[in-house]
Amino acid sequence: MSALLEVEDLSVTLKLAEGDLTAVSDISLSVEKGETLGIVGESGSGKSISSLAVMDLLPKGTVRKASKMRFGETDLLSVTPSQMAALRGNRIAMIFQEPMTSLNPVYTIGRQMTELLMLHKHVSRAEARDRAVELLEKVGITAARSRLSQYPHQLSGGLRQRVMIAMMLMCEPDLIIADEPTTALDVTIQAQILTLLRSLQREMNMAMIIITHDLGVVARVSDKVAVMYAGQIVETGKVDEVFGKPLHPYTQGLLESIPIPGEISPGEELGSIPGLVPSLKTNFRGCRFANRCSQAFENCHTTLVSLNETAPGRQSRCLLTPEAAAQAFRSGNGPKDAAPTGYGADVDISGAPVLSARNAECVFRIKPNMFAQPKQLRAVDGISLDLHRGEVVAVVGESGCGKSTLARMLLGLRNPSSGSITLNGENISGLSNVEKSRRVQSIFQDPYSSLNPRRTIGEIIRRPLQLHGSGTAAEQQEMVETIMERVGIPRRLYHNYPNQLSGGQRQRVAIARALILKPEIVVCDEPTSALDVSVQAQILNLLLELREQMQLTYLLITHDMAVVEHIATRVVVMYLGRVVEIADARTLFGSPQHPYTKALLGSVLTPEPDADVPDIELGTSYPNPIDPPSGCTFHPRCPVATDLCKRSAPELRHIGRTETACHNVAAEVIAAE
Amino acid sequence: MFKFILRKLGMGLLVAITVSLATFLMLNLAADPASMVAGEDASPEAIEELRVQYGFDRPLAVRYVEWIGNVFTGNFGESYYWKRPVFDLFLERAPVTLTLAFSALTITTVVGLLLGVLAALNPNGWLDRFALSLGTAAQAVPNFWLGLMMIILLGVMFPIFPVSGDTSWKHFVLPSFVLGMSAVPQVLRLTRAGMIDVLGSDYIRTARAKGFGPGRILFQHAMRNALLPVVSVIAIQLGYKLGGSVVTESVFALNGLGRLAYESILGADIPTVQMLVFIFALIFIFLTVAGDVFNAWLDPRLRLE
Repeated sequence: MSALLEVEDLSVTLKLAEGDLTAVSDISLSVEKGETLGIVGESGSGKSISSLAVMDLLPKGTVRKASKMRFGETDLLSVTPSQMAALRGNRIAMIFQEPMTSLNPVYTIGRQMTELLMLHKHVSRAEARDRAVELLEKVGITAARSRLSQYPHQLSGGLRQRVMIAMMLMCEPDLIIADEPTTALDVTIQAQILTLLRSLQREMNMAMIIITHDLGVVARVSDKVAVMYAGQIVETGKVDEVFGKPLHPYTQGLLESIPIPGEISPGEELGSIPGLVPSLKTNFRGCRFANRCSQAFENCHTTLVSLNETAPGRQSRCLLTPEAAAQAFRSGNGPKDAAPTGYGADVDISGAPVLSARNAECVFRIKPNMFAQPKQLRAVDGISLDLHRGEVVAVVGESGCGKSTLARMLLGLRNPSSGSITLNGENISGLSNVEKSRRVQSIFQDPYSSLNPRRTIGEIIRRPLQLHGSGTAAEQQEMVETIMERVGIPRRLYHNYPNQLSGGQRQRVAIARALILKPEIVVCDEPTSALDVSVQAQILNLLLELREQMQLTYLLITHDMAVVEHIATRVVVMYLGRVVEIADARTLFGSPQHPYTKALLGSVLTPEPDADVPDIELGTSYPNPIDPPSGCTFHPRCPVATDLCKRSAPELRHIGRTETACHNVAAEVIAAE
Repeated sequence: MFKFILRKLGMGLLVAITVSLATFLMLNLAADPASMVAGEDASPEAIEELRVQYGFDRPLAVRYVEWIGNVFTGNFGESYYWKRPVFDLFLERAPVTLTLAFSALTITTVVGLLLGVLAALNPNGWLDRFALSLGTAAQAVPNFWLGLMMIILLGVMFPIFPVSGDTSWKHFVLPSFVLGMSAVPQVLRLTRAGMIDVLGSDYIRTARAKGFGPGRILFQHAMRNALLPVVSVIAIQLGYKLGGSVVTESVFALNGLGRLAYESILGADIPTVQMLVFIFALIFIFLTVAGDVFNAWLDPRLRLE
């Protein structure tokens, strides 16, 4: 059977003022009807550019070259622009990453959906509307007909992505290209969207290309996978073969960077890929991965490596024999049965806490206009939490649950509306800024915007010392250099500016700046979510190492349960400003109690191809915090909610080693007794 | 939408009352109206007589209420200088200014939008560079100079258009061009920036992925978003132009509102100044509200519930 889409030797070159940059070099792809191809790679690997090249949507000043590009009967290299436009949206559809910005804000959902069908199939408006309603229902949107007159800003991110999917299915395309379709969404919604895409693709027998940096996503939905590195495909094959027995050291490194429970114990060092992706302006003389490869030998640096077929449908771009390469995988640590290590056991939580919140509340008053009654938004609704020395407490929950507001209160950046925050027994609002910042420091999510672009690395790290007046200039310089070494920033970068550094290096600078005052507590707000997988592992390893060396206490704010399981000693699950479950990490991951915790854990996608997309159904989307549901705020989405849950809000109660706020769990325990 | 317009109008009314009060107070406190009416070499007795005659001896609050009450009936008082109802003066001069303002605004909008869009289609292309240079030049050149140059070129050297007066449409060509060009740079730059921004946005990429041709993408998907900031600026520009351009009207000897304002300020003709400031304020308020409403029609996110 011949493939639906066939691409051979595709190269894409960006014409830049400072010279040409070859973003994609000689890649070949093929997808058959009803098949899903996953293209996986880190940022800058060329995966998105490849798909834009297929769609002929490359930005201006980009040159596309290929020896063959065929879609069905059409030769994509010789079509006219208008013939290409007639294919787009009609036979090849594309779903983009950002549902918040990918729909036109000034037109209704209905108009944006129907115009596509009316353009390509010349049907009447009424017919197009019927089709739109049918598809909206198919993607699981309730009250579909009334949604047609809504505007994008009236829908949540998850709903918008569903609309986007429904819209792109209007013409029943043969091929659908999904570029990071779930990256911008919450984990619980990610699983739903993936399940939806998978089932629609099967039902309509479409071919699909899914582009992502998330190995877990690829593993769950693809039949075959292409791994890209620095503009090249380095490995291809059936997804279970590639993930089960990776041949290329880069694929191996990627898989080892992800904390998979059962493969690696909490607190243990993750496999990570050292170094940085080479600049694509380099004139490569050898393997592009050689400078980061643990198994590289001399020839790797001097021989251009081609993509070799190791088995039918299986290719790898590596000089090692498949046997030698396969052996190297996980040879460093080997498969583990996750024997409990002593991680976290040294923490004494019976003593006095270093940081403590008591019934802390944060209420925002919202006034939609001058004359309206102000409404209250309870971002944090009565939370009590203790941090003991050496703990790594993770606060998890979907966006909007109040976890970042809680972090800001614990940092002393925002006073609680009621309740108190104490640092070593002293009320934090009574402490001066200097005092607070000496003891509590923070690392933020986005290392691209949290460093001042007009100061050098050295100045950024040194600034806290100057503000606190610690030491002479020479002493300060020495302290900066010491900490730079410790977090792994080469000393020669002292006079460089942040824009000359990679994301991982910038996050290291942020860590150095946070640690230079030797704080007791570091609040890490999504410290790795803006980073690539291999870099994420480096940063997590660094955080674990520094914790041990400097006896740090971490408060980790994140939505990534794999990261939490790997480094947290205690976990707090938040929902709509309240704690629904709190337990030590092993208990929480071993036997989660609250239905929401279960749903969160169930939505984690580890790169295990044999597992299917978890079937969690959280019903409706995240509620509006201005107008929270009655009783237990989780009840509209809860699979086991009863009448009691609608009426009364459950209190946090001790159940075994867990504290959880759920009527059902409490009832079960009472019944068991 | 109806509620939205109503609320905007309500806010506008509050602003209008505030402005009327402020102008009234400032004009009446800045100088003694009686001595102004009487002239420079009037005797103190004559001034006192006038004070009583015109009612300036009564408290300010009473006079304000009387004035604002009369305004609602269309009576803005009588000019001290022309000795005629000031509203008649307004009606007499307004047509000239209205013609000038609307034709100038048409030039601003057409030239600014067209060049802005064309420039944005190919940033750094030759058309873009031309448009930006023209924008900089139009900004740098003062109105009176451009006016004089136009008179020399098209009125004297090549006498195509008359250079003064307001009796035919031809009289308005040069002044409209001069006044219109002065606002082109602002509209051009905003359109260009907005368009470049919108054309690079994710939803335009979506529109391309849906298979729309360049024309429909530009006019249907991009234009409406890019116009939002331009609408507010055009509304304000129309306000300026309706307020009368003293310079342009003087250069071309047009007897419009700008000239009237200039003359009545020099002549300390308080009722006229008071009326003009109040009417200009009303025009501004109305145009701002109209701009907001138009933008809310363009962009559903602005229709606050």
